[in-house]
Amino acid sequence: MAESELNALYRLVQDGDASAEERLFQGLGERFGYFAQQRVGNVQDAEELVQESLMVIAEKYREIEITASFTAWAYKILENKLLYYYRTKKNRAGRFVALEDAVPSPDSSTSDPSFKRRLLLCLKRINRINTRFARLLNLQHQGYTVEDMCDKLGTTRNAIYIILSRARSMLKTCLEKGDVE
Amino acid sequence: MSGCQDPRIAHLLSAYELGMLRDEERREVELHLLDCDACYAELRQFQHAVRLLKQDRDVRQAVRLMAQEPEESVSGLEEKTPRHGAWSRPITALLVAAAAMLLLILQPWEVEFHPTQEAVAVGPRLAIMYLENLADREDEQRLGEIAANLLITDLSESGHLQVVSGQRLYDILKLFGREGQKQVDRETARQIADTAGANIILQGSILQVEPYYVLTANLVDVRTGNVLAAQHVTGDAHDDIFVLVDRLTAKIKLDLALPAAAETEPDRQVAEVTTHSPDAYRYYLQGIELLQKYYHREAAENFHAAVALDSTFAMAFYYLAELEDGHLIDQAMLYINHAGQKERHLIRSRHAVFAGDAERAIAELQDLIKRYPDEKTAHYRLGLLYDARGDYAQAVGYLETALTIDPMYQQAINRLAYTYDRMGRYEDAIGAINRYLALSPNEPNPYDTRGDIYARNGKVDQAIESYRQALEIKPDFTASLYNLGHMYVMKHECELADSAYRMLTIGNDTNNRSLARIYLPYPAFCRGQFVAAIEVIDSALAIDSTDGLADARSAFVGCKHFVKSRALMEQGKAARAIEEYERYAAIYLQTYPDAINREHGYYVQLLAEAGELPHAAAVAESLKVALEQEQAVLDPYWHARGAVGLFEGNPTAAIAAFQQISAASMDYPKQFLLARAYLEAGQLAEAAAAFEALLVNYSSTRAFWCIWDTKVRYYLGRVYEESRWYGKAVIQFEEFLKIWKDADPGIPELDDARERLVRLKQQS
Repeated sequence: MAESELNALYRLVQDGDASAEERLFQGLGERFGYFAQQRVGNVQDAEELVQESLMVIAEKYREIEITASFTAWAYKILENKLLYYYRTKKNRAGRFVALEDAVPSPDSSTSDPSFKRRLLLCLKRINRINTRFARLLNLQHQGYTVEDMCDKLGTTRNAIYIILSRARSMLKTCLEKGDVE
Repeated sequence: MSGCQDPRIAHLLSAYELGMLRDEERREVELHLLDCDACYAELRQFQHAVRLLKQDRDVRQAVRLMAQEPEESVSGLEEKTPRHGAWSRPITALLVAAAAMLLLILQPWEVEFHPTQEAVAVGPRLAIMYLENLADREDEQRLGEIAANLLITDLSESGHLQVVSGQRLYDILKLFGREGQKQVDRETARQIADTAGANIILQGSILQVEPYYVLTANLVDVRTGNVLAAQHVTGDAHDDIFVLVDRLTAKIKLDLALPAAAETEPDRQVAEVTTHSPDAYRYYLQGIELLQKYYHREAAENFHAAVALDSTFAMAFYYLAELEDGHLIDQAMLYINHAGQKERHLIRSRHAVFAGDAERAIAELQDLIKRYPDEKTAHYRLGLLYDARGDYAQAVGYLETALTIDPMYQQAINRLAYTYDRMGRYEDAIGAINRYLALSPNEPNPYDTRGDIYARNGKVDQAIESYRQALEIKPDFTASLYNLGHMYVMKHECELADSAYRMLTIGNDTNNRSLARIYLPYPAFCRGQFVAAIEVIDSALAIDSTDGLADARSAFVGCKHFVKSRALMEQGKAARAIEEYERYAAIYLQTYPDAINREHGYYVQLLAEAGELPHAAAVAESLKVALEQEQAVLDPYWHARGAVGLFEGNPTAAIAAFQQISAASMDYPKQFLLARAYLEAGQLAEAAAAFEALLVNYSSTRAFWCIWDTKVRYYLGRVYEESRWYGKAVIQFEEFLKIWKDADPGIPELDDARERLVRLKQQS
């Protein structure tokens, strides 16, 4: 793999390009934000975790010698923050905000209804070709783990990943072109 | 994926977006995303679609419907897979395994054989015991109880199995003398499950809490004691108890080999039908437990704590609506999607009750008991609704069913006692109370109820004794303090009434204190001291204001204006009395905007008492039009017409109007006015009977109208005098003058009573 944008920016900062630093942290913050929201499900907490991680990175990255990948080192800091967050989560009752209050619901008025209609249409079209994507999604909505799905469908974890990957590809094509073909 | 050279990551991306990867795989993908701009751009581009797939209700519903459709083809996504290849083989194996499992599990099930020989399984009936918290034997966080209750809620959502409710298990434990016990041995668990009619017990444990949860569960055949299946779920570091319960629920459903249709029925995450906050849920469960013991105030405190942590916790609002402020049912309705199927029926039913729609309330509860037939609360509430409609036979039927489900159901026995009493079955009422007392000798409520039954049957001293017994058990038991105060008011023991009411003004809850202050002027009313009473009311209103209750929504503030209007009218300050009533009406209108017309009979009554007869008659007629438009009963109109007739000197018209009022609405003040109309019309026998009935009525309404209660003696004296029962008349006048011996000067009835008494004594 060619050097990533983030590692390239890191190298520029190391070489004394001060303007690269802002872009480095912006890019890192965006990705970290995506990861944290995937795992925390609470926008406010996710943002705080990212900010805290970036602060640690900003404090340390000039001081220590990063021999391998900068992104891998930075990611470890985010992971540690996430781990600490879950360990202390039980003591944060006072900060609890219902997910619906914290995250704008995708079915709220802010979402694009035409996009949702297209998505529903595409799901129906995919379902005509293969029903397993809907079945897997439905099982996931019901709280089944991938292991449970494997037991239920008599398949392997890898096969499930392949089904999801192919369905995603079809869904993407359909959303872009209006059909799965 | 264009631009990315790593096909392995490409095929993990979709599972990553949907949150389906293992921890180590997720880490691998995220590290890749930091270095691969193409994959990251791909994710961002698809982010909105993924959010819809994961969270959007409509999309989830559509997916659920699609999953119900039969598979049409296995081509397409797996075009390289042979038609009877990798998928079909495991499914066949699974079907064989499922059939074997089904046989194993069906054996102890109730299986009904119909004439067609078609076997219809009634289905598994599961009793879920508290999970043993092996990580903390003391279980200070009540995690075992939380997990069990969440499992009950989650599994109860399925229409393909029956789950014994947490309430039922609590009741059976109580029946076994183990109330509130969290852990029971295997044999006791079997007996509990057997009593609940369950054929499978779920026993489990919390093996570990930190750094991630580990739960185990065994499904045990109640009849044989054999373990049918064992499950074990392990969370990730970020998974809370709700996620683990969802996973365990899914595994248990698999073990129970439910019908294929169960797979496609709606099955929302348990946090979505309860709360996302473990702490809020803990407070909620504590609230329920306290409610079961009738510790309403303490229960409400816990429900408040629950909604403080989760402002969308529908069932916590539901109980707060029941315990404190009926308006909170609107909050429960607002978040009804955060409640389970059973709870939604309860919320909708209570909402209907609050809206005055008894039919809809009954229909909701009847739907509930169709699906959850042993839900005693629904039977109980149906009993209440039929009781309120005056359909006592139906009420008794539902209450007795509730008692069949739970022979120790105190609330049902309690209500049954009142219903029997209303049916005139005093002996049965006392029998029910004695049963209640035998069950709960150390709780205040049975004594309080017995006090009520005694009071309603004119046994006021026995009632007082019973209320005192309740207060010996719990000195701040609110209901008994109110009732004791009312009894003393009706006995004209004003000091004792004052001390009971003042006890109620001590407490942490501003609303409860405000409610109690409504009664603080009553001891003064009891003495005929209206100036003092108004001072007390003004002081109470000032305290309400200090307590932040002066806003228009406080019904308790409104009630004080109503009480003040009565005091002013007794002083002959009619214009000010009407002004105070209008303040009350303005608050009432904001609190119960749909019900204001039900109160306007009193407004017309005040206008008529004030001598504004044309205005009163006009308001009465417009009230009639309004009630007819609402398709409401015309009782308030007949009240208004009766009052106009009485005060314009047409007692015959007044009697005719009052007689139109339904029995359920014919409360103390209307009975008093009717009795007066009989007197004015010269129907002395009817007047005597009506006034005498008022003297043996020991309801809280009589206490509320205690000024007129004292005046009953004056009017009864007049009735006896005109009936030439002079001796009895003297007794009534003397009693009246004795009660109001320290009354304000200038009360016309007092002056008249003195003159009549002198005249009667001279005659004798």
